[in-house]
Amino acid sequence: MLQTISTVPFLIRQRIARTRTWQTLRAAAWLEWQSQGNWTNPWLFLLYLVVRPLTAALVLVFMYWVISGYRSHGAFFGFLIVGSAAWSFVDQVMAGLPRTVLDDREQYAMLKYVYIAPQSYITFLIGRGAPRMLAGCLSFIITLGFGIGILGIPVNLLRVNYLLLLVALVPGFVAITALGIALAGISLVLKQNAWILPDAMAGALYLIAGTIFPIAILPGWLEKFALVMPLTYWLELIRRALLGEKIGAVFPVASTPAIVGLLALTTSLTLIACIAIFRASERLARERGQIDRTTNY
Amino acid sequence: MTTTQVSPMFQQKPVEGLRLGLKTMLGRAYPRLMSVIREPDWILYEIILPLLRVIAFVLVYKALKAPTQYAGFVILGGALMAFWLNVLWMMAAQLHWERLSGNLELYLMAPASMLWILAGMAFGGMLITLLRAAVIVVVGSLIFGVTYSTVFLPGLALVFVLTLVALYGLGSMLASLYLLYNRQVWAIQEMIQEPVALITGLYFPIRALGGYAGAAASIIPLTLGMDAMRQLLFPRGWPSFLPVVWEIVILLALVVVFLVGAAKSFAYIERRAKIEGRLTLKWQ
Repeated sequence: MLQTISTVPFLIRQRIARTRTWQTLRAAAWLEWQSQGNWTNPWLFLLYLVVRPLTAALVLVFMYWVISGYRSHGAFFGFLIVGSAAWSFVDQVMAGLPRTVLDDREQYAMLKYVYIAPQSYITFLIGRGAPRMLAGCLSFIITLGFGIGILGIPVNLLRVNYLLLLVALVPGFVAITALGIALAGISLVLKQNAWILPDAMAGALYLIAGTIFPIAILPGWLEKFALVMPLTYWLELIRRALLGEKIGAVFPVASTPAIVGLLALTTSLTLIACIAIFRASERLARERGQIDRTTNY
Repeated sequence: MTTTQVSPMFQQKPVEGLRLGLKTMLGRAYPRLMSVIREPDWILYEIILPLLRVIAFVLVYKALKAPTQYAGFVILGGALMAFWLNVLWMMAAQLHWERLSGNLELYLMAPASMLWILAGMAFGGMLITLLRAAVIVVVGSLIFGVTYSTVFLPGLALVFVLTLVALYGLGSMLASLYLLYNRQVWAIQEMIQEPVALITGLYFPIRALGGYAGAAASIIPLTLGMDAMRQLLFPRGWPSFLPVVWEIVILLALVVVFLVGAAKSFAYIERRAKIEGRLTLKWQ
């Protein structure tokens, strides 16, 4: 019986794999940066990045002012702006990753070439998500800065709990990227509707995660559903870090350390579920021969 | 001296031209209408999930303890947002797709005017979006117990039709830009998608933006169309921007401007794109 035994030592193989992963991440991130940004000059690109979250926040501001009066800057005002600013990450990464898959498949017809390259597609997607995360950060900072400087939301930069902010952001990034990867997988098996999926899902989670209102307003069954979503805890922690603990008075879980624990738990479960969804969708797309198809009517 | 023989295909009488145009329009609308039957998953992506976003905005008003009719304002805004998204992505951006898939050349070679093809896109898109908007209004109103005044239904129908025709005319003008440009227009479309909710007052009275901003926003048919519809559906509860009659007159003017503008800009840009060789330019 013929047996093939690799002569390359284990450590060297591991190093090659690490280098390949790094190369994939770097190339994917550069590709995303170029495909997103090289159509214009940096200033217009910056405007392109911030105009959406900024105007989304302003819509909420006018809704608030119409009811509460133009000079009103109550606690709910800060709640709205912080939630809306933080949503930039979801818009950029979770809704952005499936769009990159669709762009590659439908517009540039290069998805099949990405697939036959010696790399993990999930690593490639994480790399594509990295510049989007950076764009999300920029949008978040600028929208929040606009809220603090121009609209007067009650955030004292000297009293912000930066450690809590960091503790919230990191698992939040993992959960958002995982959700984006799951949606990217699902979009592989969809046709024309795949283009609507990212925005539609982001819109649905916008409601469920209580982005712009306290989840206590939701009907009981929907509130329970919100409490298994990492985005709910992620948003709550960001608000508590920026606006203080009082803002969470109506949140169903009072203790901040408990929310941190729930964020870690739900993020881990989301990660496992999302990778499983991606793998299952990808296998289905391969079986049906949908990796390189184009759909359009 | 030689005389140029015109192909009999192009020696059409006006009636035949109209017949060909209508057939072209229905032919282009057909795949969109069929997709409703053949791909029922659109119910989830185009109705149920977007409805949740509309509900989120209603809940903001609920958290602010606003009067019940504000839920109705938001539901109506959400329904019209569906048309705006359809105009942006299935009307204006469609020629970008057609170019990438190689259909654009075929459209331009066909004996029917490109405007009929755009009309077909608009007709198909309008019908399926009408269904989506109707479901948003009915379900949203049932959930939040919103009631509407039905006294001014003929006026409402007139405003609705004028708004849609003007809006799809604007979409046709935007579509012509894709003959010259690629990703730039795509990015600009992405950029203007959300601000429209702000500048047209989709979720709040346009009067809140002030007179000058409201007047500038009136160039987008949604602004006045929605303000007029809200005035007719909620005669007592809506802080109006202009009287309904004025808004109807301005909408009529917008219909003419956008339809004529679409025809002119299409002819001009198509010629320029041919001269510059950009009609088949992909992935730029």
